[in-house]
Amino acid sequence: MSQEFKFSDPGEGLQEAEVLEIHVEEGTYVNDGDIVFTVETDKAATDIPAPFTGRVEKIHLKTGDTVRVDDVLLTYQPADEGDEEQQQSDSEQEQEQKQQAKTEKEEKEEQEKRDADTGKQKEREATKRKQEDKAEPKAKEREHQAPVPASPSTRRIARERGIDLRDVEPSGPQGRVTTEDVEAFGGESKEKASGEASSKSTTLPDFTRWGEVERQPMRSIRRVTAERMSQAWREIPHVFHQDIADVTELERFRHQYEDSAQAKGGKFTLTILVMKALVFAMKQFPRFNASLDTENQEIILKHYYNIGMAVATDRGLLVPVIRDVDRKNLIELTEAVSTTVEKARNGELRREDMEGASMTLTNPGPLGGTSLSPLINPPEVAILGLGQARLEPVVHGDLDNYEVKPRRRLPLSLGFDHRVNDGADAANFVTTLIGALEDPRSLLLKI
Amino acid sequence: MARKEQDATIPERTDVAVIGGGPGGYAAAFEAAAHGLDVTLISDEERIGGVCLLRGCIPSKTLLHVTELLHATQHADSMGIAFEPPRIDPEALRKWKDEVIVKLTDGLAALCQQRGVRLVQARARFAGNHQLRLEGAERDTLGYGHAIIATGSRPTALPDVDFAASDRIMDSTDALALKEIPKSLLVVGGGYIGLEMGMVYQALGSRVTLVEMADRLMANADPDLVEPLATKCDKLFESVQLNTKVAGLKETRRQVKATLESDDSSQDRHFERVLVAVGRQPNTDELGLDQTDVEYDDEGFIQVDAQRQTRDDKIYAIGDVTGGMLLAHEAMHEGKVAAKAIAGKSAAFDVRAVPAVVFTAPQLAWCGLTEQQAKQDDIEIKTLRFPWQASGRALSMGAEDGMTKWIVEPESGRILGMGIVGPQAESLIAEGVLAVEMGAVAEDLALTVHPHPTLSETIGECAELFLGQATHYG
Repeated sequence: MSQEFKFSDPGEGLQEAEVLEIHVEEGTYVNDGDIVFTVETDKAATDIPAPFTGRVEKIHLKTGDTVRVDDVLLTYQPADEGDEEQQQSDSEQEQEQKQQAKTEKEEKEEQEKRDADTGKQKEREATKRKQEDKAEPKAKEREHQAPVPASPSTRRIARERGIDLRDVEPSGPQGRVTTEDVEAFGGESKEKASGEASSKSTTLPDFTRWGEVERQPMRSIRRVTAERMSQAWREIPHVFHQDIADVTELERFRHQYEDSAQAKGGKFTLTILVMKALVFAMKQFPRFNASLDTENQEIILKHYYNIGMAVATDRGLLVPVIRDVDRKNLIELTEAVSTTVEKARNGELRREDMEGASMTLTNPGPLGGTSLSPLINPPEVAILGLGQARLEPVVHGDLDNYEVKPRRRLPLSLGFDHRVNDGADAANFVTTLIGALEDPRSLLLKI
Repeated sequence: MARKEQDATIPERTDVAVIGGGPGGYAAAFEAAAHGLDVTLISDEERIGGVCLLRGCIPSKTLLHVTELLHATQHADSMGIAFEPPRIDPEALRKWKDEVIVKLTDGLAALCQQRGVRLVQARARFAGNHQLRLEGAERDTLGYGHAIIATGSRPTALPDVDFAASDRIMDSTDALALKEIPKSLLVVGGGYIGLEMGMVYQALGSRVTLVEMADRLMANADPDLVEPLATKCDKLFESVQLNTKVAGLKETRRQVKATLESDDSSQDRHFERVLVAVGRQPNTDELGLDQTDVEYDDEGFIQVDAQRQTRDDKIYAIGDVTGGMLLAHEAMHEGKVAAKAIAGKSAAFDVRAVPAVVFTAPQLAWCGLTEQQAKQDDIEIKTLRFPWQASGRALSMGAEDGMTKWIVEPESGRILGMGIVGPQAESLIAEGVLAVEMGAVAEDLALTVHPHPTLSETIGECAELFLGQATHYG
């Protein structure tokens, strides 16, 4: 008998993923552990191995689809039965195919229905389980889980959005899930999708009144970025501190060693030097290498120096983490940065490649810009943004006795969490950073 | 939403064919019509309302109301009010009961008209290919987009007993018809129908003997809740014989000879009439289900999912035909779920507490988890009991044998179930249902002000026991 291979949580309570690649076709024979799908979960590509050996009968999705936990990815014929079928004569197989074609329409209808209503599918499975439980009271005992406390209307909203109440963080007393909790958890109301008026507060006007429009789905990376940044903006009291560093000498130094660094590892960029200087400043001001534990009212100081690096890719913004920046020399760092950027652009980053940063560095400068207000990437407490380093006239001396010199100046913008650091801390932090950037020789000594 | 005028002629095809005019059926029909679907409600009876209205809940509660009056007048003796023995006019009583039924069924027919639900009186059978065969209607067939089976259940007979052929051996339908008030009545079955009807006939003057196969009455309710009711039965009935089964019923000209068998004895007893109330079976055997993909178990109960959809995706089933507690209010809720699902809404039967009410004296009601179910499933619970001796209101009405009981999670006090025995349990239980559905904790109930002096106070005080002592108890 054919069996179903369902999508299960690839880690950390994820609910859904986007199918990036399908490595098998209907009819492919796979071995336990073979990679059958690559999906994108929470910005990372994850390979999904087959937990079975057998022949793939039907693939229930296509590239670009969004799969949710418990969705059927494919149905397969387990090995022993599949072997028998392989021994079937060709004509028999042909006949089978014909039959399959006949029922295909029915199957398709069924599938469409399933797709349209995955929540319903889940519920049906739940009932099926219940019915099985009835037949086997012992199994029920084993599987018994108290229902999540929530009012009937909350449960209805969760059902419409295909949300399992067990996944929702409760805010009510003794773990009671409220409607607000379900709404915060997200999920699109299916009824809303079917055109019914929604209870959501923002209702969009009909844009077609003013001209032609098109609608693009918010795919995984865009969606995660949207969620993270709303959370950061909502929860973190951001303050931005701006200053300008004179990087004339630093750039001279960089150009001097660019070629040899390039030969050994990759592009020796300004970002890499700023990263080093940033670690130096963080060592002086450990509360910028921190996280806030609001529940326990504690500040967590980190004794490692990992820098998250914002990388623009054609699939969206990714922030891979460069580990142990303090322990890498400039060549090693150059190498690490260039491989990481390449992995990001090729969509090869794993989830763990994007976790555990001390602070994030974002450098849209090469594209232009004299100032920016970068948003903190939670659970970090600070982010450094770089503007465009430009050659500018700088006045040295005083009013009576001065000289104007061309200098390369780099705008810095530090976004910080005011719950953890104050304006004076930020000023000191940035000044220290500028000190390191303006004097490459001392920077060398410091790193 | 604009309602369509009811069209009396049967069309070739209807969006939703509801088979069965009971509470589940009409609730489903109304809901489907409210979603703008063309709905045909098919019932083989002259009046809609099903067993509930015609031969169940409503007539029995009408008679039980009279029973309560009779009990009250007797009880008044101890309060210094003496009544003459009542004169009972069975014919007038029957008429009163029938009037209630007519009023309600007429009301339903009017609602159908108003809501654009087409009523068809016919027997319906599935004929395959999304067609129903109609017997007794102006058209022979009716095509459907979806069908909802709501044909309910009927009393189960004892082996070798044909209710129709016998006058003295009755099922609940016959008993409610109240043909006569026998001097002696044997009630077979200690479930809610046997107890309710036994009490009706006892109050009207019959000597009632009740036999039950199990070792206690109301086997699915917690024993501590049943106890006051069992005590009352012992007092009212001539005898209550547990662990006893009826080995044979033989009808003679004026009596029925019943052979009652228990572990150690067998005796023949004579009764003027016998009421058999040993269970109900689904009305699924004459629906032509073999023409569909609908699956059902050996007893004929149809298998459905949370949307009430059968294995035949165009056919839904609700109420008694799907088993469960066989309660009208459950069927109504299921009917609405099925109709919503057919209308493409995201609906599911997601109910945590279906209340069960036994309208005896004293009344018995429970909802959610019971103590015995928790034990059986190995669920850890804490039980809180508030005896009504501590309730001023209960004493004032002579109901001190009542009890209110909460089943809660031991740690959080989360309400999992409630049980009540005593007068007004039918209404008091509603607070328990809401508490379970809302995921309330005992403290929520304890902090809610209940009116004094009422029986509802026992609900709040019982919850106080979780926090420590109740004002009047513990």
